Amino acid sequence: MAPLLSVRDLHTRFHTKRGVATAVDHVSFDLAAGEFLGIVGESGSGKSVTALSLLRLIASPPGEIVGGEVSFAGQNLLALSEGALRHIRGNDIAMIFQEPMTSLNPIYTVGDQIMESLIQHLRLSRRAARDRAIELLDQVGITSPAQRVQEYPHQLSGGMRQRVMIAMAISCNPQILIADEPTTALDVTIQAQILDQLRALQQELGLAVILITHDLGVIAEFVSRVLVMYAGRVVEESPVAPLFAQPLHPYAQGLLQSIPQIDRDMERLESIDGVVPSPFDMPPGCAFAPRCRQVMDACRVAPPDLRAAGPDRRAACLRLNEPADTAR
Amino acid sequence: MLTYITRRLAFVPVSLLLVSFAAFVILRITGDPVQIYLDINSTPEQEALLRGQLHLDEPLPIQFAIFTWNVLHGDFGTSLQFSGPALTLVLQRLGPTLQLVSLGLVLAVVLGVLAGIACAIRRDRVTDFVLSSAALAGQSMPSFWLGILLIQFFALRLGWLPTSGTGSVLHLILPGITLSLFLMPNFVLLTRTSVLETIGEQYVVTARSKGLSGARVLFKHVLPNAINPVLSFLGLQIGRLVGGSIITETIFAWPGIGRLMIGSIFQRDVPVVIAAVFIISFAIIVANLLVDIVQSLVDPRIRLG
Repeated sequence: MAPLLSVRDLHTRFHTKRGVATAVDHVSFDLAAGEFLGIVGESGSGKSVTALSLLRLIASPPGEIVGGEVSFAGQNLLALSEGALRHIRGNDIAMIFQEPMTSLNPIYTVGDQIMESLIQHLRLSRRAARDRAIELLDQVGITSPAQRVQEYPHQLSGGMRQRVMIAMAISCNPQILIADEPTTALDVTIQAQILDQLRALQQELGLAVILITHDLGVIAEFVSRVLVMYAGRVVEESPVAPLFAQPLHPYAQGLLQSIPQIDRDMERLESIDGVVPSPFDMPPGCAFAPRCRQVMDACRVAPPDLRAAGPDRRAACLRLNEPADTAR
Repeated sequence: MLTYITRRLAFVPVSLLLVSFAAFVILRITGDPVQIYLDINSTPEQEALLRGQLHLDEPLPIQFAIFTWNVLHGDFGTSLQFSGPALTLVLQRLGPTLQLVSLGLVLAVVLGVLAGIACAIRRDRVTDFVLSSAALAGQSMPSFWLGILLIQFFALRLGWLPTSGTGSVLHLILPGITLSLFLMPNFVLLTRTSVLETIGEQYVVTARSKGLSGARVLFKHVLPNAINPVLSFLGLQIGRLVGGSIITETIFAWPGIGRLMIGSIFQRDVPVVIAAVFIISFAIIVANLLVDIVQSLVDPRIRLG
């Protein structure tokens, strides 16, 4: 079956006073209908920029999508006119963001903000849109929705605001929901509620979800397939269980080793030495080479491509061909 | 909302009382009005009589109490240079000043805000460069000099407009433009900054991610949020506007409160000065109250917070 969304060689960079920074470096992946895909990586790995680039929401200038292709429903979103793309934004592909405190416009009621999408894409009357907004608030688990619909964002808690964002995102029955760190700014208990809500909606509505996070615990619990990003590139792509059982890329190995394990006695927590290279000064070879414990001379020559490594798995490491046990 | 306005209104008399007290004390301790009232041939008996009539022989607090009591009855005293009640004189000059100030303010705010928006959405391009540079230049230009330049060019060289005075709509144009150019640069630069800041807000990305058009994002999501700092600034600028209006009225011989006040200060016409200060303060307080009300209408966080 053809994927719902197909990203090829996405390349986004930023023009700054310090020079040109490549934030997303030839990222490719597919998303199947109804799939729950995770993108994991640390701050600055390019995961959020990837998400924003899919709908061309990068502020330009300074951002620029240099090349690549984002295929959805037979069209390349990167080549579409602004007008045609607007019919897809919020309608077929919707997004929610990290900061529920700032993602809603402070001067409009939450009802108005949900209704805006409904009126824009589904051409509902104000009255019908209002009724639908109340239904949506109810659907995302907000109590007394008929009253909440006329409240302003500052009158709601962070968790409720994120629920409002979800209601807004699903209002036009999109096929894809991109959630960019949706729970990072919330309390742990609220985090779980929001993610459970997302999963329930995903199953109920048959949504495909791209969940962007730096939290491996969230990845393990919620998604079915993972992209691991490092310095603007996908370094490993894998279904979630095999990734946790046997990570292939040294960066993914380092990430997993730095999770504290409750059943293992450890003197001190493992960490990855060094820091992420500056986007203005990328090493010529593999971006992880300066921090890698298994680095070889060949690693410093050119960045390795993603290569197949077992069923549904790919990784960008020259050591892939070697027996797996030497890589641990 | 209504309680908010009532609460604010309750403070109006307090502010006015403080302002009149300050003006009263300053004018009383800087000179003796009796010397100006009576001519050089006055006898000590005449002086004593007038001193008694004006209660100048009482201590300052009693004088102020009597003054306040009179003001409460609408009596600011009689002008020393013109005959007639001071308040009536000031109110007669209110009309021309309001004409001038409203023209200047409307031009400055409307054109300034539009130019600021144009700069922000064309950031770092030619439009932005030209308008921002012009605003910076305008900000550093003294308004009396600008007024004289305008008179020289439009009135003397081209002969299109009268140099000064009053009488027709044409007379209003040059002083109005001078006053608006005095205020406009700040509005251009502030609006530019405020719009640029708002464009970077996360809810603007949200609005774009919903598939709204660029114009709708700008007019519905960016501008209403960007306008509040501009409104706050407008409230602060009203005091400056009065200052600018005094200068402009003097340059263009415009028969407004500003010129009356300057003249009265030179003549030590205490009742007129106090009445003018009182009316100007009242106008500033009301204008600021209006600004606050508009702001709270725009932003529910002020209204409901």
